[in-house]
Amino acid sequence: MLPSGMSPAELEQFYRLFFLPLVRRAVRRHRLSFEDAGDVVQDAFVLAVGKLDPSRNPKAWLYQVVDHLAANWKRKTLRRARLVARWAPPAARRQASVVGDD
Amino acid sequence: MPDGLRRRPDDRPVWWAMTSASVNLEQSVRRWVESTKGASIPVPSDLDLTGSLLQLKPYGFSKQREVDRNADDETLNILSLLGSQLLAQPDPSQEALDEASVAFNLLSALESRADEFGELYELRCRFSFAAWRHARALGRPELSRAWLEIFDHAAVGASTVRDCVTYFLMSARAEESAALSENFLVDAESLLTVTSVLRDLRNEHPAVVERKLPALREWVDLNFRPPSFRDEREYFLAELELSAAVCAKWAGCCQASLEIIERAKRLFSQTREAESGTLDAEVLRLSIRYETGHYDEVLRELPGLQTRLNSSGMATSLAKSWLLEGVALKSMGRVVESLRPLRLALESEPCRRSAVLRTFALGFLADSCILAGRRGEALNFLKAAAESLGEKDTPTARTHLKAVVGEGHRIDGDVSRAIAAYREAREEWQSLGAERWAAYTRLLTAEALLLTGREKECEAEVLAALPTIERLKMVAEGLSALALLRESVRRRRTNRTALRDVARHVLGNG
Repeated sequence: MLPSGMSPAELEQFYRLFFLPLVRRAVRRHRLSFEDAGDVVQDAFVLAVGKLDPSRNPKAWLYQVVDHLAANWKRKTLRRARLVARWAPPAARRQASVVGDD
Repeated sequence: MPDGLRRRPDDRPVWWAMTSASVNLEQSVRRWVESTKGASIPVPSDLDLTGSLLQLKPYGFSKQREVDRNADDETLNILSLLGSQLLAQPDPSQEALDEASVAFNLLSALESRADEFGELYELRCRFSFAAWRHARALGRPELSRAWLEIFDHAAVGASTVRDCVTYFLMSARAEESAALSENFLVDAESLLTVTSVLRDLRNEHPAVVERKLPALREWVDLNFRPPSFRDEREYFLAELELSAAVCAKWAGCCQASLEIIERAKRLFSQTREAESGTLDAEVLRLSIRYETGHYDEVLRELPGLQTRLNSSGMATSLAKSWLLEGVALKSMGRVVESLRPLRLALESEPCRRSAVLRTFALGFLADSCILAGRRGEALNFLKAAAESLGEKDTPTARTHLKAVVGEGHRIDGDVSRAIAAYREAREEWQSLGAERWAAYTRLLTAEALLLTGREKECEAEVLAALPTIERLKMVAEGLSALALLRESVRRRRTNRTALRDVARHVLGNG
């Protein structure tokens, strides 16, 4: 067990009950790749620390934050793709289109 | 009064519940973040999943060795990817319709598992939405309507999504941002969820929904510009207009409601399947004609409308038309006849699925049974209605039931309890913004007070109802008010001024 952290069994349970379903939601709703969706969901959990209010509906709150971050991620990705398409030298554009923006 | 009918002290729409699970989630998130700091969290491989999906598609997902019957992560990952692809499909496609249909059926056959977010229902929403969209666009109206009913049913179970949408619709906070609207109103599936939730909420909390609708309509009108499936914009605007018409009806603004219905019909006429929207609008129009006392007209027009609803497969609207038929018959004194259509409605699939519809049906049946002298049956229906309220509390249905209970007490001769029930109902109608019903209930109270020799209080109730009766042009109620005051005056020989005022109001309004 990690100090003040979760046991492997707890990690597995959280991963399957909360992390993966939120990743899938980001994929379904915002058409992110699974990889990008994973980053977005982890960002949402980081934001949730100290902000998640158990007296309100925390699952709905998480949903809204994931949606918001995913929408921002997509906008950022599209903006970068347009900038690259417009300004980057041809070789860089070819590379960007093969390996992705980041 | 059955327990289920008592108003909760904190009678606001409850869209969340704090449980020990909520507290654990907050702690769990904190511990997860601490434990995974700096770690690379594995996620499914897009490449592998795409490969799996391509292998499965030709076989319609039917090969059991490829797809486990358990709703495990691998299956849900593949289905989520398919859901994402279907959303991106830009043109009407029979292939997309077939894939959505097969995927939905596969989901329905999967064994359910612990699901924190209602994810299985959410996936069903996605596939039923995709099927609805493509069926409409391919000119298959009956199929699209069937999928819409399936979507509505799935949306009930997608608990977290429904909570989000309900919160958005019920929130009165001034700091609602454009981002919040953008979260829910930017894509067609979200709008379909919003209109699905509205179909229930508008009959539960009409005053609250009515405040929200203008901003919703404006947002959709200005911001929803789908690049494909373009008539969906008119469809959603028309659905929002129908909700506005229902809310106006609850507020007693019948003429305004009829005008809104005409706007809705014009918008529906610009969509691919104009007929179903128009039929829904017709049911609503007749319900308004019922509220303004045109029972003959309603009973004359309903049979033709019901035939069209039946042949179009519009089960929910058909159930509502049966309820309308029942209450119209009851209002004409044909109480025993009213039981047949009300029972048809109660036994229908939409009433079995929807606690809101079921509670109303049970309330109407209880009312008719009371008037028909079938006390035992009335009591059974009231008990069932109280149970249905326990499943889903609907303020409007609960308030109607209180008035029904009051009627029952009155017929039993317990007029004091009847008056108490009527007064409670009237207060709740007022808080819900249902002013027509509040005024009507005041007259019921006045009549009961007259029976017990409390003429002064009777007159006070009538006079309190008059401004609403005049403003909403409630002619039949105005005549009743006049008759009550006349009788009260006859008994007390006082307050002739009040009688003259009423006569002026009623006779002046024709």
